[in-house]
Amino acid sequence: MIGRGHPWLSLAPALCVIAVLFGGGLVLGLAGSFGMGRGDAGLDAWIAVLSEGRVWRSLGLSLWIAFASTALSCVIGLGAALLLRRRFPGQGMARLLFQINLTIPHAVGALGILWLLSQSGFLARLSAGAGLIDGPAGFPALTQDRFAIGIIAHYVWKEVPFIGLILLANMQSLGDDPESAARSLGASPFGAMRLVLLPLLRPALIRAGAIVFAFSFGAWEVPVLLGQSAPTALPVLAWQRFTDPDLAARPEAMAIAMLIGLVSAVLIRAAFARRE
Amino acid sequence: MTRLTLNDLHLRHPGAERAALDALSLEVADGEMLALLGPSGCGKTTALRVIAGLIAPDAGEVRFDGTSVLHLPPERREAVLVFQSGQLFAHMDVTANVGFGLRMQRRPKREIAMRVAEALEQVQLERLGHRRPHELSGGQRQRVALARALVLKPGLLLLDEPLSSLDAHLRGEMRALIGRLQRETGITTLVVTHDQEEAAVLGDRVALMLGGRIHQIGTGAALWNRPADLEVARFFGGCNFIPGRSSEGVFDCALGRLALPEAAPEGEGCLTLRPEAIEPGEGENAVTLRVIETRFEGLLTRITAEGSGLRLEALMRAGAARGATPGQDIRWRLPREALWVLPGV
Repeated sequence: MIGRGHPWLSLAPALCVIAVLFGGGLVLGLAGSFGMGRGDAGLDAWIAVLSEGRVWRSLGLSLWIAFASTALSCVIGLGAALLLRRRFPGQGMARLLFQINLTIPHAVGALGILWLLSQSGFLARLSAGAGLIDGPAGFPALTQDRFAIGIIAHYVWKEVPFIGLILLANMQSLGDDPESAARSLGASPFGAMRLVLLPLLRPALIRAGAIVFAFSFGAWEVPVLLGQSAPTALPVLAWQRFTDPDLAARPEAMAIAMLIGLVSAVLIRAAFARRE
Repeated sequence: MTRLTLNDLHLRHPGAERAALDALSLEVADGEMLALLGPSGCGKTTALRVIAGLIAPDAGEVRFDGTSVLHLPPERREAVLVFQSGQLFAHMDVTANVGFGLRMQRRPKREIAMRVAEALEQVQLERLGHRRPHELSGGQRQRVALARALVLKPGLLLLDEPLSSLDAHLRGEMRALIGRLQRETGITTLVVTHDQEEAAVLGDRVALMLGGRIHQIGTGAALWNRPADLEVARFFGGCNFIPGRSSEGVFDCALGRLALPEAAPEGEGCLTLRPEAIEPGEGENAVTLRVIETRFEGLLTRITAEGSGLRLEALMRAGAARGATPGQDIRWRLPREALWVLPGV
């Protein structure tokens, strides 16, 4: 019966999956980063990775992508959720349209961004056609660019509905009463939102933001499609080392992957610790 | 303090079949504590929210001291609503919760600290200022919510079922506290409840609301013993309704001629009396009935008896009910002062 017995017993099936699939992968990855299974176990891969300037530049780029994507997604997602919770004609349709791109795979979305924002894309041609620029080549580089604008645009486009959906669900469970109580005590609509609603939404926003951060920091398919060739995002670098014909590069790929996991975990932990 | 007037309020929630407020009119005097009583879904809470400015009515007027406040937003109405669940802000401690309204008024920090301490003392929570809402019991949370409202010294205090989430012991304590604070502060208070006993104890007057409108206003005893219509009588547990005619202080019905109390309405109507008012034995207004059924209900026993085609129910203590067994004829006295006529029913 659900809910009866020791909680650990009830959690056991889920914990087994996590322990075997994720924990196992993590242990194997960590072992691989130390060169285990190759006969010459040691810290060589870690030393090589940490002393390589390219890795640090990639780390910086990945952090920029993850921070910018998370911050923009949170701000826009929050704004959208605040608008969509109000009753208005066509609210159902607006919510549906808002959520619809959750179903679109990242790779497809990235190709869409490429088609839309690249210098040979729709906006470039439209601008040229309207006489705003001399030709499509005059359109600013928004994909494969040094500021990773295309990548960030993709993550924001994809994650805003995710954040919005989590916040809408949270607001639905909170109801209007906290804000109504604040209004009755003398707070203006903005004051009630700032002093009562937003602090109550903060835990959900941090959790959702942590998921967005972890994903945008660790995923490689979007940076591969929309990113520049050097420096690449850190996950792309790990993927390149992992698929390198020289098998000696594998431990470095594992070390970079572990580094991604470690940095992500530390930053997310810090965000939760600040909340507490 | 504020005199509250509700004038012909109408409100229908979007998509709802029935109106939540249907020609609701009510007057609460300056410094009075009025209990708005009614079953779940009768529109009591909606009425409070309209008064607080959280919902706009479709039509009608809300006046404070004779001046319409419908154009004012909630924060400018000087009416504070205490929610059923307390609605303490979970991210603030007790002190910050109680001081929230004063902070909105941009009072100096020193004044806020002083008034918060006073308010917490009033509700006997002076040592719990540092606690978060989740560290408080249900009763403590309600007291904090009350302190948070009282600290603002509002013109009108609106209490939405303030005792419904508390157990029986805490209810008594909280009821006494609300009564004491209202007497001390003299704040005009409208308290919403579905509990008849609570309404009678808390309110200087009780207004019974059914289907979005007020059916009767008066003292608890008046509503209980002198219902204005059949619905009011039924709400208060009335179950004995005898058709007949009232004239010159007597009521002629199938049970015979029954003496009525003074000022009983005259004409065709329905005689009503509460089941616990019936007494066993002889005397004025004694009638013979046959016991149909007895049902044990804890402290009291419910006895159903029939006579002259009429069925009456009585609630009696174990001693008085002992003689009543199904099939047996009994004599019941229907005390004159417990009878009331509902004219035109």
